[in-house]
Parts: sequence; structure tokens; C-alpha cells
Amino acid sequence: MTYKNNAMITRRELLRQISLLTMAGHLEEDINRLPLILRPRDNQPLRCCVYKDRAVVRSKLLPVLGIAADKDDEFTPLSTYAEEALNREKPVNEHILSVVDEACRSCRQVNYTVTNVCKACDGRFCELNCPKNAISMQNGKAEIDEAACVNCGICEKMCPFHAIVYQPVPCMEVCPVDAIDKDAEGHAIINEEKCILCGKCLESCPFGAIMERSHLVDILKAMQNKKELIALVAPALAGQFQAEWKQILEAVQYAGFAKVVEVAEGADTCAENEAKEWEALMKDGQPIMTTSCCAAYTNLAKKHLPNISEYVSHTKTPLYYTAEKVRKENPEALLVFISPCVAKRGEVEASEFIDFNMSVEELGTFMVAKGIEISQIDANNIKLHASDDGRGFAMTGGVTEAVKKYLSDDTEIKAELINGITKSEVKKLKRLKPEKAGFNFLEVMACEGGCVNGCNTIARCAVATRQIQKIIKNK
Amino acid sequence: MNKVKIQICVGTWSYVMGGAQLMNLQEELPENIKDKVEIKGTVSIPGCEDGTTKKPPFASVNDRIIEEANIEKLIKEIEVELSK
Repeated sequence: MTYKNNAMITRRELLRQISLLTMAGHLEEDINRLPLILRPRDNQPLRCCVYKDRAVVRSKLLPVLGIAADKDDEFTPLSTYAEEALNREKPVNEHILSVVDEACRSCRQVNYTVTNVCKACDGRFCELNCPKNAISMQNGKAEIDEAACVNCGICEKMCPFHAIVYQPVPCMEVCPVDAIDKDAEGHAIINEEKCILCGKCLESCPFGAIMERSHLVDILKAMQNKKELIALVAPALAGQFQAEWKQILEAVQYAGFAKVVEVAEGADTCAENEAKEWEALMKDGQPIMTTSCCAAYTNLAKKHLPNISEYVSHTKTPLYYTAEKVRKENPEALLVFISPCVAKRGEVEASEFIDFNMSVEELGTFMVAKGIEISQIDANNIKLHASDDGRGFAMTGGVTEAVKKYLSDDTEIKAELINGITKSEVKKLKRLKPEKAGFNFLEVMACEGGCVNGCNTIARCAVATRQIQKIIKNK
Repeated sequence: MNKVKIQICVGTWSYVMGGAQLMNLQEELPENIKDKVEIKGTVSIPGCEDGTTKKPPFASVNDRIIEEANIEKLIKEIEVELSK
């Protein structure tokens, strides 16, 4: 979840427009005009000129259509891609996160830059102390040769005028596993072997250059073809709109789903199984067990934490249990997971039960496109089956609380919590020695605050958390 | 002196298209203004239903509709009201 910024607004506007056009049946006819309509000539351009703005919008529309942005051939009109999206049998299941090169500003090659505050002093601290001889005087001030610079930061520390500044590359700065590289032109590339799909890069790029490949068109097409779609909603959804939970669920159904099921229902099974597994492992002498419901964390453990990966619980996720049950009861329906984050996409795409993914943001903009006002929905007929413990999974600490309730003896558990996966938390985890941990149960949430703060959410984390706590305590 | 009345639209359209961020307004107010303002979330701000021309997120300051509202704009409008 980001603070409001133009990149986020653009992304939501594109989602809303594609929803509108697809529902009206005019997607192929009208999509070519969309960059012109959204970036009219008399508006103040965001980038160098209105034509660059239009090119950026055009490129960004590809992931919205479900196509990786790097497949873009500039001479192919958007309508051709729209046709491809409308006619495909199933969405392509690779490259979930897409870097939109057209939008990527390739902001910086190196993190250090000499500002014009430089006094070209006699001391030349920067030049003399640079271990790579990367600094020289050019045109009256110090200049860093970006090809030679290795980002050591010594020049910044040395300068008595503080004339050298550290400039982060936002996506690289926030990526906890250093999975973003730069190609020869300076465009960001996601290294999929390292990437854990946490989505922090997507949230933080000030140009909105990283986008998620969407299933929006596939879902809308299925609705138009009168297919039976069932929405499995993540617990985090309850905090995303200013309305009662029953109204939100009813609104989702009203938007085009035959049924809406809370994934919190599967969370109870998950908590019970986690508790049983933990007790058995402790008896067996295993030093720790970690949760497995946060998809970004399990990716992290698998790819980057060989010291911990064997201790990740084998219990399935709440989504798995919910989807398994719903699939058994509805063999012909199409199951759609309403997700607060990108990481769950990996689980969705690998799942034998779930057909599509719809992010909270995509759902929100879709409901806006349909003209639904959630707070006006009449939700008196809806029946809820999930438990409050299951709904608590949306917030950090929720899993641990729920698991504790299923333990036959909760005096033995020493629970630890990691609230948000950052570069420094990853460093700590890599150094962790399970036998000397000091705890025997570890909950890891990739997003600070829990799923309510996922990269695809709409509401502010504190607001969403309070809202869900109110739901849980109102019994 | 009457408090400045702020209404933040929390209707679905406004909320999704940036309105959610306005929920932070109370914390972001400068100290000297904090107690001179009354903030409420509301689902319909009269006059904002004409969606085709107006741009969300919507808010109102003493019943004057602000389009494309953000925290800085609202603080400025509040200061204008307080100086009246």
C-alpha cells in the first residue's frame, strides 16, 4: 500500500478504463484512443512531452491486458493486443511482475552524485580518497565516473561541504533480496531466480514502471460468457473499503460472482494443523518451526535461507484449504482469489484448484467501473461462516494467536515475530542459528502490519487494521 | 470561532482513486490548526455525483467541494477558511 502518488493513480485509472471498455464490449475498438484520451495535448505533460506520456500509457496497458510489457512491439496497435487478450484460452503463467521499460526512468547507474554545492576545494578529499580513482575535476567541480564507481560511499563521508549525496534507486533500495539489476541502458531488470514476489518494488517505483500482469480481462470475459465464478476473498479485504464487512462481501457478489467465500474459513484449518505440526516437531526435538502462510516469506526461505527452509511448516495455507473445499463442492465453477499482494500469485498459478487472481486494487477499480457504491449495498441476507481467529490472519500476529488456541498446552511455546521483510531482516534471518534462536515458533510477515498492508491494497494500514479489529471484537 | 468543517468522501470511487490516503489528514495537520478543525468521513458530498467531469478524490471544506483533493490542498483551504 502506497501513499497517494500519480503512478498509483495512473495504474488505477488504466484498470478502471479497461474494465469499462471490456464490459461495454468496445475494448478492441476503443483501446487505441486510450493514451490520447488520458493524455490530451493541452494537459501539462508528466514527462518530457505529451507523446512520451502517451507511449508510457500505451506500454502500461499491456500488463493490464495480462501481457508482459517487454513483449511490446511499438508498431503493433493496442487493439491487436486486446484481441489477443480476449481470445486467449487461459492467461500466460509466467513473469508475474513486468518492468515497463518505456516508463522506467533508469534513474541512476550509481548511488552517489556530486551536487552543485561542490566548491572544487584544494583539499580534493573525494578525488584523493576514492579507492577506484573514479573522481576527477571537470568544468570546475568534482565529477564521479559512473563506470568506475562501486558505490562505496567514501566520497560522501569525506566531503566537508556535504556536496556529495546518496541517491537511492527506489526499486533497488527497497528490494529485500537485491533481485533488481540494471541492463546496459539502465532499465531495471527483475532477476527471477532471486525475486520473492513481495511487490515492494511495484509499490515504490515513482514512475510506476513495475506492474503486475493482470487476469482482469480473463475474469471479465468469463463473466460476460455467463460462467459461474466464485470469489475467494483474503481476510485483508475486510479493511479495504469504508463499509461493513457484510456489505463488502455482498458487493463483491453483486459485481458478478455466483458466490463469495472468506478465505478466513480455511484459516482455522491452517491454525489447527500448524498447532498439531508444531507439537509433533517439538516432541521430535526440532528447534524451531516457522509459519508458511506468507507466500513471499516461503519464497524467501526456499531461495535465500538454506539454514531455515527445512523448518518452514508443511501445513498448507488458508487459501489452499478454502480452495480445496470450494473446488470439491463446485467442480465446474471458476475460482478467483481476491488477493492483497503479488506473492500469492505464485501459489495461485501453481494451484490445481484456483483459476484466476484478482488483486484488491483490481477488484476496487472494477467495482468503481460498475458504479457500485459499497456503503449503499443491502447486505441483510448474507450469511458469514468464518471465525474471528481466521479473520485475524490479515494482521501481523494473527496466525500466532490462532495457533496458540489450538495447542493442548500453550506454556511451552516461545513465539517470535518478524513484521516486515527488509534487507536488514533478511541479513538477520540468514545469520539465524535455529538451535540457538531463543524461540521455537516464528511468524514471518513480508508486509509490515501483515496482509492489510500488502502491495495491492487500497486502504491505509492503520485504518484497515482498526477496521478489522472492530469486526473481530464486535461479538 | 466555529470549527472548520471538513468532510472526506469515503465512497468507493473516491476512496479507491486516492481518497484512502486522506484518512491521514488529522495526523498531518499542523499543530496550530489541529483543534480548529472537525473532520468527518461521509459517503456523499452533495454535488459530486456528476462523475463525468469531476475528478476524485473528493472532499469538502465548509461545504465547498474540493476535487482531486490531497492533504496539502486541504490544509491550504483550511488556512483560507481560518483567515476569513
